[in-house]
Amino acid sequence: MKSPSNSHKHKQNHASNDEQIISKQVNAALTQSADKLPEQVLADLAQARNNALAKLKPDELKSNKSKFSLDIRIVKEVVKPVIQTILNRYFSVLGLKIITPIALALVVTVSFKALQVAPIPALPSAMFNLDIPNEDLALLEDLDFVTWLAQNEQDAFL
Amino acid sequence: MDQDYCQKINLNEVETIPLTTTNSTLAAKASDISMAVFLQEIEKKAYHLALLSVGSHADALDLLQDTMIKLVTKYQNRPSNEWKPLFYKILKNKIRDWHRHQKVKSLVFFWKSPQVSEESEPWPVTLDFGSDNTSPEDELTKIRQQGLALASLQQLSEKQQQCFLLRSWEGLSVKETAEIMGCSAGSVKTHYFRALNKLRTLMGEDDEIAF
Repeated sequence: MKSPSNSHKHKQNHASNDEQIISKQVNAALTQSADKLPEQVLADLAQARNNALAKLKPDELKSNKSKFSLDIRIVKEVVKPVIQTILNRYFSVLGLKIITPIALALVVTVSFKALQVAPIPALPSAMFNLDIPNEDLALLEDLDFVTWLAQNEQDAFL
Repeated sequence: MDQDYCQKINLNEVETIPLTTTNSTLAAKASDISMAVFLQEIEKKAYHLALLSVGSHADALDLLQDTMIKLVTKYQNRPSNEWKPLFYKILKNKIRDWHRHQKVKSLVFFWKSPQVSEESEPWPVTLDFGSDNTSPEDELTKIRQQGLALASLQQLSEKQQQCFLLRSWEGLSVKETAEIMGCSAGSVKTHYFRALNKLRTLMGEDDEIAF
């Protein structure tokens, strides 16, 4: 006669054996299914894998980029303060007390001169509108000449 | 598993990479190759896991690719023995997100009846008539058992499926499975136990019906 504990153990063993068999069966089915996947699926999987592996390249680029940004940071952190210190130490007085008023004076002068430039007088419109005859033009030229001579004589006397 | 990778890396790399290559380049190349080998070895099982969860080839492939990309871009510098749990954890999260997305989609487009994807189809039973040693009856029995096992697996809940596949097929420990699934070791044991019980019931029932 079997004791209750023995029968319990026997049941447990039986159940675990069953589980192992089922587990093995399902695993075998899955493995077989995985081994015999259609060509199309395998091609798709390979494509997906290659797409993922292609992402390794940007990582290298990223590392190069970080090196470049490191260089910029060094320039910013080392060179810039040095230049600022020099400027502050040697140009602070000049910059504030001398250079600034001179610069302001220059700006004001230049802008004032620009405003003071006399505008070019427009030509009299009568010159274009009137039809002067040739005889009158000759008389006018003579008159100009005589006037010029008289002016020269006066200058010579003076 | 890792020893296999190392062996493959050494066998492949020592012969192909010239001696002038710097150590860093060599290390990077070895890392690339070991990642490629890892992905190649894991992709079929991962694809099955995803396919079981989402039921569509295209969606399973998308999830798998996203998982691979995330592993490669974010965790390639981690030790190779951490890749497998990380990979399955990412995949599990992607599958969860996919289900949530589907849920939202069905709520937003409530007037549309849930469409069964064109590519969603019953699990293909692979036929192998290549071996001459087995009789046609044995082959038929084998194919029937395979189909039955896979069909039963499809009827499990998502957690039970994942738990069974990770513990039994992938051979991960309870701790690793718990980390991947984001639950306690006790929950993993419970899921696994229930999965086995359900499989036994389903396969037993079908056997009775078949005979």
